[in-house]
Amino acid sequence: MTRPENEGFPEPELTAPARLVEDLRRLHDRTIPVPAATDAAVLGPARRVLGRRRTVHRVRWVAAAAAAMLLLALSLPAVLRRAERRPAPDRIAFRGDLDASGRIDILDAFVLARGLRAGAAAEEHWDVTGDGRVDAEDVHWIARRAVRLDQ
Amino acid sequence: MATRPPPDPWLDHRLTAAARGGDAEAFEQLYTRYRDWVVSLALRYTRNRDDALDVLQETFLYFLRKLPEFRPRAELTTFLYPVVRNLALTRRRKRRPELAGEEILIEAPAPEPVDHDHSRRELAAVLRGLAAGQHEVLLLRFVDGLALEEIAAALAIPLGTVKSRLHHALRTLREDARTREYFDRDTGKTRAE
Repeated sequence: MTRPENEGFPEPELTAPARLVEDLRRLHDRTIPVPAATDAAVLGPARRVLGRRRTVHRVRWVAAAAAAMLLLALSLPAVLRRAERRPAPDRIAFRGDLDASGRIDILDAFVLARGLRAGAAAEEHWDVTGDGRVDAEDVHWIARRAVRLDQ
Repeated sequence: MATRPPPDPWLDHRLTAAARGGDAEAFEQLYTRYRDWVVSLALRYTRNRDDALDVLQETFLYFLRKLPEFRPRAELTTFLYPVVRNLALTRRRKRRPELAGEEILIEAPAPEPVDHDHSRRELAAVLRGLAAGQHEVLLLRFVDGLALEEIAAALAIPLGTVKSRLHHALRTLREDARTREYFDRDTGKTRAE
């Protein structure tokens, strides 16, 4: 087996005796006290620059949150309308797609949960588990299918 | 002495992210954490107190400017080291324009000239004879305690080159009559951390 160029030095060859390390540090590891003026010359501009950046970040966050809220407020009526829809049974292509959207999603579970809570008359296709009852089990079945990764 | 602060990449990452988001206190903590190491490194290269303090200031102001796009991929030392080195050597070149390239690197990291300990004086003399690259790697490894991978990242050279330079530097010290004693006395070799 060939070794990469220059990488063949065993670790022990790259270590140094403790006394040598100590003397290297004594020779080279010198420092000086840093005056308060130097600290201020670094930290003063940092506070100004970062303070401005923090304000910009906050404004961006508030704007993004406001946009999200606006989007939610605008789309909520449409979502609710879709949830209220009761399509004809013959339009439902497969089990669990209660709003006939062509896919099983969390809104189908929402449709059923709202129907159950409101005491609405159960429709035949709501019994997605096929156990002859329409209850929370059917809601859970749809919810599980809606969040499955392999669908 | 001002060896580098204990490595804590998670802390550095957290503080850097907070500073990037505008947290001045996080930046101050980073400054406090690395200040002494940076000024010690700057002093090693500039050998002048005022220049070292200026380099310290310029290094952190540069870091402040780079913060928005800064994404730490390794220890902060690997970012700071080349900045300090370049700023310090630029200052030194201004003071001594007759020195150039390798020459300035060879001269820059030299120790204080007066040391009353005989073996340290001999060690300093042997170090002066090392190639600049070997000298630099030796100090980064044993004085600053950087890992070999960190040295490679800080100097932007392959890991193999770091190992090669360190190997040759140690071999020179081991074979030179003036410093052989370190290796003869100490049979149990110790890694510097």
